[in-house]
Amino acid sequence: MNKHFFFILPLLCISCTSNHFNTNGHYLLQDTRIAIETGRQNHFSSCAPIAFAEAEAHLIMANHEFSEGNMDRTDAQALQQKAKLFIAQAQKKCAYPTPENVKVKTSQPALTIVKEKTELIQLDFKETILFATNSTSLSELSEQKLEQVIHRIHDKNNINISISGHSDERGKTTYNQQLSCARTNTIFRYFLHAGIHIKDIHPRCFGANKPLSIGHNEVSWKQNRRVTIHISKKLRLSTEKKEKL
Amino acid sequence: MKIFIAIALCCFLSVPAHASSWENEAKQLVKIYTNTKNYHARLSLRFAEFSLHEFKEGDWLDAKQFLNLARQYHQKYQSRHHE
Repeated sequence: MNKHFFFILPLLCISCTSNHFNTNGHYLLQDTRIAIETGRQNHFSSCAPIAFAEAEAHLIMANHEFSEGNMDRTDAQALQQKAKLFIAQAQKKCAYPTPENVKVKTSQPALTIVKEKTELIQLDFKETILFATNSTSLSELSEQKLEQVIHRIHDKNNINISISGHSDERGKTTYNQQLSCARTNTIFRYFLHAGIHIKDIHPRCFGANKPLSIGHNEVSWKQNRRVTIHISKKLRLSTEKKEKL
Repeated sequence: MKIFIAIALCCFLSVPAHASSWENEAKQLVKIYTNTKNYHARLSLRFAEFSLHEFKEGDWLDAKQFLNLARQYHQKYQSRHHE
């Protein structure tokens, strides 16, 4: 009796403590897990923090329910469905500007609205990032410039970051449009990775429609392959003050 | 043999005593983070809620594991917001 007792007791203890709190994951949750991992790599936690947190939590809870080994899997499946729903929400919120989902805005009306509403501008500056021909990648100098911009705005609230992508005149119109959007996307992601809130960033792409330099040589093209970052901080006065003014 | 059984029994009986304090801790975390819109806060809230669910089911070990997760995210939230 004693021999058996001493043999079984450690086994019982090990099985209880090791439990089924398995973080490796159940095979039925593979798709959801991949979606969440992709979300983590794309910093969904900064652009859709609540939806992404919900998705992660529900995945872990579903994993736990699946691993418990119950025959009734309705709870686990419900949790999995919720995780899928939340990750879809996060994906929707964090949709990066691509030629398909960026609405090219005409800049004129937007500018007039800003002028009307903004009474006092505390912070207002522009930075231009240049790109190589047919390229969307950042040079070392460009990264340094971006770091400086981020350093200037990192502790500021209520800022408005307008990112406008451009290309030179060479190539087809649709391709130039796509290229300018991809350049905007590069800067947009850089800001997101730096922890800037998605609501403060306003991406736009213009293709070759708004050249900085009107010329048909390499010097002009170099200036036109650019992304302009315009940062402003808006302080709105109350209506009473407006009347007095 | 008797001593061994006594120790095992004491350990087993001490779990419910700890369990009530763990449950209170989970309840407190739920209370703190119910309306907080933050990534770490939300994770802490959900794990604390699930911990309470496990307590109700009587699965103390799982409840404790989820409470630990809730604590981890609670600490992360605290460290980020008290810099």
